[in-house]
Amino acid sequence: MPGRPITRIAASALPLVSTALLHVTLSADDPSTAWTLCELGGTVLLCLGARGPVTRYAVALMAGVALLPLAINLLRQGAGVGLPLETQLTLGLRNLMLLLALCGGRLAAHGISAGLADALAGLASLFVVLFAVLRTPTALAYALAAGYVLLGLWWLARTSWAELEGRFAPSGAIQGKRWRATRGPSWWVFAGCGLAVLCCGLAFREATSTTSLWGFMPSSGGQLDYSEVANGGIGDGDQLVAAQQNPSSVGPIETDLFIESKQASLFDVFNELGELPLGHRKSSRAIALAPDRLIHHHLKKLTVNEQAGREFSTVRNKPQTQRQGEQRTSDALMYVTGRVPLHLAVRRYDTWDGRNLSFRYPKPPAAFKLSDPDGAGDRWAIVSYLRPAWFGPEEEHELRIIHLKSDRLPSPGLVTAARIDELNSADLFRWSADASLRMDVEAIPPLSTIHLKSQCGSTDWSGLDLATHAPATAEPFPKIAALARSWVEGVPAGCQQVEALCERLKKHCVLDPEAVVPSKTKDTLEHFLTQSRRGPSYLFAASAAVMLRSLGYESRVVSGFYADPKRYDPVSKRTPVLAEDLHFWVEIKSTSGFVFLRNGDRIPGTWLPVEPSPGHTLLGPQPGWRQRVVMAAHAALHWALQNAWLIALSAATLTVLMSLRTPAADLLLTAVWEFARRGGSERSHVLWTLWLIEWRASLRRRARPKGEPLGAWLLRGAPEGGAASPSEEFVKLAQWALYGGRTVRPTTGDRLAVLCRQAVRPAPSKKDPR
Amino acid sequence: MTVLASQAAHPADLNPAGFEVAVDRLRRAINSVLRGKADVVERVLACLLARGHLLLEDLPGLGKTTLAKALAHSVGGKFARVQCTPDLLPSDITGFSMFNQKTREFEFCEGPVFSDVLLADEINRATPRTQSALFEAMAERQVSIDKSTHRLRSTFFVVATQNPVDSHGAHPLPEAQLDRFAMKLTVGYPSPDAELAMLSDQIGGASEATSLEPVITPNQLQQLQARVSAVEVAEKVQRYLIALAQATRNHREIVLGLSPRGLILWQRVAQAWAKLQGRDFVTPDDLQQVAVPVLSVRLMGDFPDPAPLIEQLLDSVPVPVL
Repeated sequence: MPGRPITRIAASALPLVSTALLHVTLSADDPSTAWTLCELGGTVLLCLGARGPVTRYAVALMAGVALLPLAINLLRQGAGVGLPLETQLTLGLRNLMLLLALCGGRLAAHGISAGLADALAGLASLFVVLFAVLRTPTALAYALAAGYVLLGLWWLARTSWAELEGRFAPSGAIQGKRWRATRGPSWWVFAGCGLAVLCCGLAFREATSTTSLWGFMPSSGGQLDYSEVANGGIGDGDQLVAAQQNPSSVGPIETDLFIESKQASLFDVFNELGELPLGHRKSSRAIALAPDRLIHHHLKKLTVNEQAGREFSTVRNKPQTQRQGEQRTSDALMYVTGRVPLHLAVRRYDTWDGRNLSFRYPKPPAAFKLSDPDGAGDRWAIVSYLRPAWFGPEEEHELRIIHLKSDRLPSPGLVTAARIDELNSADLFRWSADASLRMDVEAIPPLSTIHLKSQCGSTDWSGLDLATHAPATAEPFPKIAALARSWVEGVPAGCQQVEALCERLKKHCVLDPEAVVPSKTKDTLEHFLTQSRRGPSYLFAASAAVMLRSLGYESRVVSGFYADPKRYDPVSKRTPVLAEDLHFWVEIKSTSGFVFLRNGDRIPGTWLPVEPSPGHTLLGPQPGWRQRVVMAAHAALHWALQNAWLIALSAATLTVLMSLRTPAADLLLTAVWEFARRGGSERSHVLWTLWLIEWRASLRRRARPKGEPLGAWLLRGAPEGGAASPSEEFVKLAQWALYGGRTVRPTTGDRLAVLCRQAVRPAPSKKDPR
Repeated sequence: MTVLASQAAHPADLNPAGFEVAVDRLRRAINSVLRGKADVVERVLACLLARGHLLLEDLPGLGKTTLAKALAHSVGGKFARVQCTPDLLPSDITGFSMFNQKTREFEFCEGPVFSDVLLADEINRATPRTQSALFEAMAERQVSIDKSTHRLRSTFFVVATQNPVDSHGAHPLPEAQLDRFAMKLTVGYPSPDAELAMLSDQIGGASEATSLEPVITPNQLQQLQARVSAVEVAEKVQRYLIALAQATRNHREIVLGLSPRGLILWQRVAQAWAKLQGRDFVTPDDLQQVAVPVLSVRLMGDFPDPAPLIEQLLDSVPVPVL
């Protein structure tokens, strides 16, 4: 025989499964789990905390849980983790579904029987499941959806069978239900909402849609009110932009559309958006070329790019101020997925002439071979192998090229392998002459996704051997060399000297991107180190390289990008790299590791990144779970110590509030009773008194059982825990007020006031006998 | 079709404050015969004032017949008793037409149903055909014989008894018959003190129910019933009553829930109970007080005792308050 409780359990399981599915899909791109749990917990508490039959507050409760995500999203937006509107609406629907599932049996007074509540909750859960699966179609989502479908089919069959057996109320009983609340507040709610809409309409009747929406709708920046999840207002939010830039949903990557694009190139980054060298602008003259020598105009700039990049002047203009457009668009050169900070090398310089960094000594070309080290079917181009004894394990990063128009492949210093999906030829990867990774294309197409494996250095440099060279017979920069020797005096040679020098440089000078060297300076580094002691990163890098060389260490300057952890976006889990992230640092040579050559030989030695600029750090090895726990505990302790007063004050306030909540609420309710009973009829006086008695009992956890009549409840002294009970005369008065209708009042008006006053007098101070 | 009035209308002779006095006289008279069963007597009075019919189910010798006879004699109307046996015919209850040799016409001979109180003793021993003869009489207070409809007295009140133990040769009452009773009561064994008083009464002369003097007239009873029907029932109480009825219909263990006729009877009995408590309006307390006797006669299911189930239903349905 089909049992109804089993059907009810299945009906309750459907909303739970759909809720789990929704949050599984939401958690894929919403890192703010704490907000989600708070909101979900609040909803469940609201549903479970609803008193008794939910007769009076059902409409307010439904509206409250439905609008709760919208209200919480205001707080989330303040914290920078807002949700799109469609997600908020779905969460509201989820809340209604949970309310029906948890309070379905108590909404009978509003015409929603338990069976009907189950049916409505099941219908809502179906929509939630569809939304979740279509939003983020993952394997787990499909598995949960399959479970939901099986459970739902079983529930439908079971319910249908039970109805056939007449276990449920006939359909006519459901059709005859009233859907509107019977009491007055629902009318007031509807009237209030209508009045508010009317007032808003009158207030903005002469405004345009743009100005009327200003301040109400989040926008992407056009109205000085920016929201990354905006899907309306002026322009689009970041998430919509990111969706348009997702290569998994965009087909063409090497079409003329992208190659002919007017977007900024790497050349622009170095020479226009960043810092323009003095005297670089030259007039040019058009020369007619034969058709076979014609270079397409989109390749022309790239050629200039290669030529210009061979040399980098340290005497430059101030960086130009970024133009702030009214429309906020993505100006990221690329996006990095993976751990940050990350140094992405683009060019290397091994020569310094006092003003310019340049490259003069080409490295022997090396070849790449494709391999599948993980056995996952991916073809990786192997770059080099490093000693795992000293370096950390391999770590993968993903680069998504957006506005970077160059053949140079930004890569970590200790890169070991590279991969592009669907690419089966290793010949596409090349070494540039300055030993940087490049691709054998005119420019890496925008929206390309490149996977890079690299190793990061250990924090312990003690076992590392550095390559040195014989000191020069004639020191080209004697002042700088003397300064370097004075900085590392007494420090043992090797890695310790390198560390000491860099730390001293960081303290000695201030990083200031706008502090350029005067144009007439002959030796910019000497001016930087001895006079201004302030400058951009390329001055730090060049100074460190020159000083390290003066100490006998092989070093070179690297230009590239610094993926700043401050830009990390927790929603997309990516770090955008902008033009202002252009950065210079130093590499020193170690005898550890080797690089494969085309003929099978190996070149011993590895260039290790060193960071001489303050405010920048190298990526350390990935911590283990124990280290993470310790770090988290340390961070929590640190935060607690920093906010000790705030925590203590909050705890004290919470303690006081918790201990005084009952008397404070009692005081407030009594004040409401005193106010409400004045001016009303004698019947309302009694009803307000009963209201106060019931609320007081609820506060003392002695709420009236839902099936117990008020008269019996009062007579057995339940509101006061059996310590005292209202007089029988008051009970008769209460019954008259509640159910008496037009019958004669059982007592006089004066006596009525006395009885009400006696009924609500404070309880005896003695402890609860329970 | 002709309608024959067997009882004329009675003039009103009960003053406005006389309700409590009349009911108290009735209460004391019945309690003097049925010792130690004040709660049962109170419910019997509620059933009588609600114009319902009463089914007494209990073991032999517990006072079922005594209670019925005491009630009939206290009211002072015509009392009739039918001892139900398997060979009892419908006409033995309703009456029949007999040919008069002198007048050369058929004359109608009234059966026991033409009384103020009808005691149907051991009703479950009558055949279903005979039991069905009471359908129309109990529901509509009239009987249709041949081509004539005969109206019964307006205070017509059926007290039926049945023995739940001895089931040999018994015919269980059909659901349609049970639904016409307002309530089912069990008398139960009296307390030791009540039994002591009962034994003392038997010394030196029996205190028979038939020796009771009428304390009210059928006219007064009719007025009492009219007063009860005027007791006010608020809409929220009626909604509560409907919610209870729906709960009986949706409960998994109850095969046959409360019918609309049962719903009306429940409200009427609650009105009588409220009036007996001195109120002119019904509260949820009244509905709960009479729920067990009213529902136990008409809820069908596979349960030996419906009382715990009814208590569970009452606990599950929210009582309307504010």
